[in-house]
Amino acid sequence: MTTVLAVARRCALLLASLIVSSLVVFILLRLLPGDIARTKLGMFATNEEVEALRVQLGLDRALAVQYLEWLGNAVRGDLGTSMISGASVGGELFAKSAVTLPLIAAASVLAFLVAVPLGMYAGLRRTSWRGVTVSGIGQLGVAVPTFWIGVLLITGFAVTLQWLPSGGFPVDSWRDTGEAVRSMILPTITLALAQGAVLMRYARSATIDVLQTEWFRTARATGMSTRTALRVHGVRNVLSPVVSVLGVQLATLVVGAIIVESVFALPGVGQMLLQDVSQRDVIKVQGTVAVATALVFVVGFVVDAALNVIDPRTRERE
Amino acid sequence: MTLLEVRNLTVRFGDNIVVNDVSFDVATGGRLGIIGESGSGKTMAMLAVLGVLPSGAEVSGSIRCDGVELVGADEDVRRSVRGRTIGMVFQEPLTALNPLMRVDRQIGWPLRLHHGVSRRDADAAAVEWCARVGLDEPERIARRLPHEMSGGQRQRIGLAIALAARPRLLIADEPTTALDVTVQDDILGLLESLVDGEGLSLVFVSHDLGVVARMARDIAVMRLGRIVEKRPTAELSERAADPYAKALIESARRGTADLRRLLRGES
Amino acid sequence: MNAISDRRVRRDPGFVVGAALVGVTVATVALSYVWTPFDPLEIDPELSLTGPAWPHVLGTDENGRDILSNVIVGARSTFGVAVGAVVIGMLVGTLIGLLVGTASARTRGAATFAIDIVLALPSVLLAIVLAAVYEPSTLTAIVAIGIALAAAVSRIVARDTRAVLTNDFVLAARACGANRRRIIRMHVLPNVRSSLFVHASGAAAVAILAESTLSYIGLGTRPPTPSWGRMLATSQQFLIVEPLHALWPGIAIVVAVLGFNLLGDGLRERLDPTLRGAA
Repeated sequence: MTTVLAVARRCALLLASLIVSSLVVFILLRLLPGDIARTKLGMFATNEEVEALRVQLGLDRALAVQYLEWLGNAVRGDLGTSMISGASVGGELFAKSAVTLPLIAAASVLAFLVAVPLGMYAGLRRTSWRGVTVSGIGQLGVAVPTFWIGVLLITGFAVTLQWLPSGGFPVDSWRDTGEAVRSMILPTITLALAQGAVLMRYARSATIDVLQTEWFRTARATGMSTRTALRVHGVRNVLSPVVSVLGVQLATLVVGAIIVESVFALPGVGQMLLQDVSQRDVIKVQGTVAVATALVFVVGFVVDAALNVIDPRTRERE
Repeated sequence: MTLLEVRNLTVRFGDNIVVNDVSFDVATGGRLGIIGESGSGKTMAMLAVLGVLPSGAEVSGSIRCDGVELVGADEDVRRSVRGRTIGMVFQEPLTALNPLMRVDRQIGWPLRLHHGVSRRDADAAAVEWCARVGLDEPERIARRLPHEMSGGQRQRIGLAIALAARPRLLIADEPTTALDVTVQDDILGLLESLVDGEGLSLVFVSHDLGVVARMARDIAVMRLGRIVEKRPTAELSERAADPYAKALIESARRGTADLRRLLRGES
Repeated sequence: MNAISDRRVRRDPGFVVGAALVGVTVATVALSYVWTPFDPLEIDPELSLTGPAWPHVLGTDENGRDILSNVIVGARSTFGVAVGAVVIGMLVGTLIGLLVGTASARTRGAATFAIDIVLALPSVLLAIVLAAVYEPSTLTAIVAIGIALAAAVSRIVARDTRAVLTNDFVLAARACGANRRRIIRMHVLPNVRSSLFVHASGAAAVAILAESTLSYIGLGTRPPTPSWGRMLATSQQFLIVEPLHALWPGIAIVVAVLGFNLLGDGLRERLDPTLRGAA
């Protein structure tokens, strides 16, 4: 029974987080100096025209009412229409996600697959020069800005070697599969490297922790070699903190995706967001950030659930 | 026939000598007790025998198991001894077991490792071991995780893990110290029956003279890394020569006398 | 105790390297006020996009501006934003952390919830939202990064504070009737104080990365003030002509961030070698 209660409590917290964060963004955006309606109509509009538009857009009502209306619509999937283009916010978001979501997913998987073995190796060979080197690379990787990795990769593989495109995405999107994949290779590697460095450091320190536990000694006392014991016993114990870090890293992953899209001129959500910001398209920014934050929270929730499967002790600790 | 022969064993960490020129024998079927307070080096000496000392340890001297020299030997040689010839059960059952692995798997691995048993057979054997170490509902408890059972149950699992590959010598390092007093007696009884039943040799390490005297036929007293007294249990109280050993015996005796007086003659 | 930790620190290459790199960065900032090879803003149309050569040791950008001078002066904006953000983050974060750590369980629960939400919006995203409201500028960057840092720092300080509070000497103080402020001042602060330097170091590294990222996407320091991030963005346009230009600002950023990271790690080792793990 307590598990049901715990899950319900988690869901309630999730919901509350979503509402509060979207509210915060809403308020921030409504603090716009200058008037949304006037911005849209321009300097030469008369006061009556501005006032009329305000009533039409519902900007004359109380903030709370405006927010609740937005929330009500959002829950039903209607995020409003862009102030600049008039297109549906939800529609555009959906279209652009076709670029952004695969990027984030592929980069996460790649980062994980690279970071965990490397981190375990660095932890195992901590005292040898090999382990120190790998660890040093990780230390370096954390200090390198994501966009620089991207630029360097472009310089190397696109400009110098000319193996891959230096940016952009085919007009036909995924239907032109070959070109689409080629366009995604460098961006995915860039994002994966940036995330991987962070994950690797956690994997390394988790491995070092495991090697020093008493139960690891028990495993060795039964005749297992260190490597076997690590492979058989230790992997789960290393995965647990790494997966939990992944949950925390989600927000930075989203930001990383925005940056990478900027570096490689990918027509994804990130680039769209930056454009909307410069055009002061408040409604689109509101919708995009709300959805992005919601996604981060929901995936975090899923990661937490996965963690409970890997490490049942977290359930008990609640 | 001597199963374990330790001569002039010294373990040091840099300038810190934790085991100083220690020598003892364990015959087949023998039962050696090692008693000392914390810091006496008794645990380190046992870890040295098994070869699982913490990093940074320097070992000198000789450890012969079945005639094979272990000090300075290849890791392969040492590994073949661990679990298969010598098994060890540790003091703190909660930390000595992998918190994220089912206990039947933990018991099964030594079997798979040393005797090439398949996973399914190892799981079944683990359930048998759970029964043999006195656990109720062994099929159910075998699938649990360590934190889902009591301290006494965990220590039984620890014993099962140590004995799974059927070693000939069991080293028990303070196996009951971390347990409730009521459970201690059960575990000691279990240990006795297992040692008798499987025909094991035993090295029992503790700081409690009463417990050691119960489990061992010969006792070695350790202090600050050295063995200061080594005698058969029966002769210890009369023939002890070392002052520290004598003080140990005296305080144990006084403790028992006090207890008897307190309970007014109840034994 | 001190003799041992001093020996360790001197033997620990990370700390020394970190301190050296941070020193180089700070020295560069100082240098930028005193002397640069050329005026970073001075245009020379004839020398557009040249590679490393004398007298322009690192070359010139598309306007003929000296790259080295821009890198040197660029340190100012990055460092300035970082310092501003770290100050805000540390002051606000520490204060909130201390208050939350010493608060009742229910207050703590609500506060942690709020802080976690702020934490979910990373500094760059916050800066983007702020930029939609106000004009993007150095100030919005400082405020956004500062808020994000404050949230992160408050979480860590709250945790450290709770760790101190569980000690027996605090229970004793409470039993003598000490009030919250007194407990913070006399017991929590001295114990938490040294780790604040570690947090500050880490915060500086994060701030520098965030600032250069914001500059790269155009939401940071406005032109023509030199900035590493923006230099990289410009260099990307001319990769075919002069790929080397993409190297120098990046190296500068890595030096600064790596320095602060190593310094923070080294400080942590020195203060409490039993602590581990990335914060």
